[in-house]
Amino acid sequence: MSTKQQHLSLPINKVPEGRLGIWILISGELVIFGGLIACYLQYRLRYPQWSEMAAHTSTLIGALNTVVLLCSSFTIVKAHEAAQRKDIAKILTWMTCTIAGGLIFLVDKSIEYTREIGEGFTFTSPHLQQTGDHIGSLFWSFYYIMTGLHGTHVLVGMIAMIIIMFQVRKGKNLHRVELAGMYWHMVDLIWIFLFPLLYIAK
Amino acid sequence: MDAITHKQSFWSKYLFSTDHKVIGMQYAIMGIIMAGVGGFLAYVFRYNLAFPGKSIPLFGHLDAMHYNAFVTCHGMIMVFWVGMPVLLSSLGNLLIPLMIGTDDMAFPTVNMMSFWIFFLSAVVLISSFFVPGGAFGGGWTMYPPFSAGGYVNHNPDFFKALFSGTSLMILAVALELVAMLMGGINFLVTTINKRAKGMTPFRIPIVVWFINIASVIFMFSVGPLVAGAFMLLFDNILGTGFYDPARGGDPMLWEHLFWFFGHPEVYVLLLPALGVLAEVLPVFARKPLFAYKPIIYLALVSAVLSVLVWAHHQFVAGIDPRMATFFSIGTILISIPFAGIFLSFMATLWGGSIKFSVPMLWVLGFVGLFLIGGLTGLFLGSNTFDIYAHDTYFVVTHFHYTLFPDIFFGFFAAVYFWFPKFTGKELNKGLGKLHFWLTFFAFNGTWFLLFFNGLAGQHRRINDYSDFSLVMKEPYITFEKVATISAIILILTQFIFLYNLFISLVKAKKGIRNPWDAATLEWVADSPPPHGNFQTYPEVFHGPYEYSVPGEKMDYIPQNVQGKNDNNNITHNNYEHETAASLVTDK
Amino acid sequence: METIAHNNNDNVIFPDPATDYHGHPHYTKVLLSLLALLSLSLVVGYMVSPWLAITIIFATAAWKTALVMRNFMHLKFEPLLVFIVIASVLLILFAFFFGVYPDVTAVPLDVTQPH
Repeated sequence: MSTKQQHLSLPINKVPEGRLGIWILISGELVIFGGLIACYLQYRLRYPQWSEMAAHTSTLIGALNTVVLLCSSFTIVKAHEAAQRKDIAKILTWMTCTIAGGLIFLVDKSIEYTREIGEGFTFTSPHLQQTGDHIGSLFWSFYYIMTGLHGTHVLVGMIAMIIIMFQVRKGKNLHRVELAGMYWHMVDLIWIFLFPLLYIAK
Repeated sequence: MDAITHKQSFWSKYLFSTDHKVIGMQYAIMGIIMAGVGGFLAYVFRYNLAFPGKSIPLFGHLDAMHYNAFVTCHGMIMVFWVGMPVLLSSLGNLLIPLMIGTDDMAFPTVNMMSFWIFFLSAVVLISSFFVPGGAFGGGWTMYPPFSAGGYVNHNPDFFKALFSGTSLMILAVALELVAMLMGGINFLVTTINKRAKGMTPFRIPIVVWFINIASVIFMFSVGPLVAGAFMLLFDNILGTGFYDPARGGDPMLWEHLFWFFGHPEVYVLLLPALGVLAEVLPVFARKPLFAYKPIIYLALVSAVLSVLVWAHHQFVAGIDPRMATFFSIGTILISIPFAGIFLSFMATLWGGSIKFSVPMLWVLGFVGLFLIGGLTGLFLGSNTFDIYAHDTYFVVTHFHYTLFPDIFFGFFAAVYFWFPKFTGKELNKGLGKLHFWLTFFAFNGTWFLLFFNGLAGQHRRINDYSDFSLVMKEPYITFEKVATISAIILILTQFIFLYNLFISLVKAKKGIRNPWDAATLEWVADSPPPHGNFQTYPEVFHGPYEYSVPGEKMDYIPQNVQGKNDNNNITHNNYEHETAASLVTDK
Repeated sequence: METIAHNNNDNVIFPDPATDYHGHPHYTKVLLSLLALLSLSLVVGYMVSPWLAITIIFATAAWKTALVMRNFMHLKFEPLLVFIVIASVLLILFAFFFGVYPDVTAVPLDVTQPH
């Protein structure tokens, strides 16, 4: 009988619990977004006229947002590298950069939303419906629900990182930097797919 | 009673506890309460079906709108707020850490949060009864356009729509799914990482395996539904057109999203109960579980198949008939792994010295009744037969013959089996047997005759059959009355169970550690297990079903006791291959 | 006998940063590859036919995904089972897509226009 629990030397067992949990969470989230994207694709292939609607999204802001997220993925993984060296100052620097990247992303999105709403493209796009273009208005419903859900995940990721930064400042829970990073990479991945689907595919 | 290292207040010990046993019991209690609600709803509309137009005792008159709402909510509650918490969350939380020999779940705080999110979801659902318009009444399947506000309005007042029965039901389901997702992650990480020394994957008890497989199926199939639920919610509160054909949407999309999850969901509900069977049968047959590894492989095969057969719920909905062929074949194929599992259970019984304890009665009742349900499912899996039988009482009876034994017989078997472990007290045997036999006969009385109603063409979800004179004539009207009276007896019988629980809980604790002489690890801990479960972490030497091993003195070897043939020299290469050769060779 | 009454990870083996078993790929190189792929997908629409462009755009998206997963999320250092889980997610989504396709996508257009 042992008084200290020992782990078996099985391959899957070598993954520490937090990381294993985050991988499972990521796969669950990917199915949710994947389902949403699959629904969008079903309609996108059915309605070629959606490409006219997609022309109204700003490819420039979208591309800028992609660059921002890719760089913030880079910064958070550098923070993880710093966490391995237990370099707290560097961790905080890199994490601040990541949160700043998330903030820039959200600000860009708000600017873009403001412009699109100004042009009358909303969740239901009443002016499109009045002209009889119901199918076009459905594009915008998808656009807002997909980018909105994604933006919410960006916000949640930022909040999680801020909380972890407070813990890291005191030198506790350094391993959580990696976990926040993995969640952030997932958010980045989803955007990597949302961008061509909503912005470029015309 | 336990030497815990920190003092716990009332709040942290009983309400916001992170101890998996407390959380497991909280889920079970919520499930029982919600079963009472769902059962009451069923009583009301069943009474209406047998005695149309009459005032229902304890309720009053039932109008069409309330009939629809009650049928809908009965289904929703029984699947999501009784079946899931009681079989998946409660059993998973109570059993997994104890059976794998560890102190608690991998993420205890997340575990606690998952229960309270679940509790919130139940509150939201119940509140939907009391908002203007009442609870949603479009079937638990929530098909648009009815569920998308299609008949009501296209430009709703946002807050009125947000607090309508439909939106509240969608929100309640969404919260419940989130709670179950959190629980599922916990179960998987705990089982993978926190097993006792010596517990290789093929020494894990079947119920733990099956709860984990169920969690995986659940997590992978629920994604599209969560997405679809958001879309349905926005259709309701914002007036979008995701499912509105007039606005470019498609109601068929919702059906696919729903059933893509809805079908694997029934296997998510089934697998934990099958796991309970696998635990109880060897104990009361004093024989090892037959074909332990094949059972696991069969369950994995059925898990994969389960996500490929969903459209058999949509045969007459207007899907492409060529796809119907594909789904029909898949549905009939999926009966094969489950048949294999059942045959293994029967082979476990064969030649055993069977003891008809109360848990064993529930298990045997489960096997018999589920067989009927499963076989009728085969008929429904054929798309041609389903053209006739879809939406008739044949379907309703089929799924009650599967779900009721699954959820209720499975849960009762688990309660009567593990009650001594988690409370240190014993349930009254006589009352238990009475509970079983009355439930068994009342259940069959309620449902068996309704097969014939379904075959005669009686459709479901109709509150008033006065226009259906071709179908609703003798003997089917009498069958309805028999069904209702049996249903009332069925519901009243459950009070015997509640009474048994109550009088047993107020008795003094006996603390018998292993009353059934079972071999799995949870019986090593004290009854009830203290916070932290084990005095010292057990080490495992062999599989979980070593009963009647030839050459041993006792008729079972607990998992943490080394038997004569056990060899725990597990090297990295051959830990999974416990062949006879590796057992015999001295390393 | 001492009772082991723990919660919250007292007996979990935390990855010790000094000996954690995965290495660190060259993150800057990965970032530059990602940005290069992004640039490619932005300009390819002006260069080749629409169908080829779309294929290239989604292929680059998939490639970027693989780069992020393998390097930033360290998937290439994880046990195979993690990759199998992620791959199963994709398979499930394919099953869903092709199961729904005949009923939602492959519907003749005139059926969907409001009359």
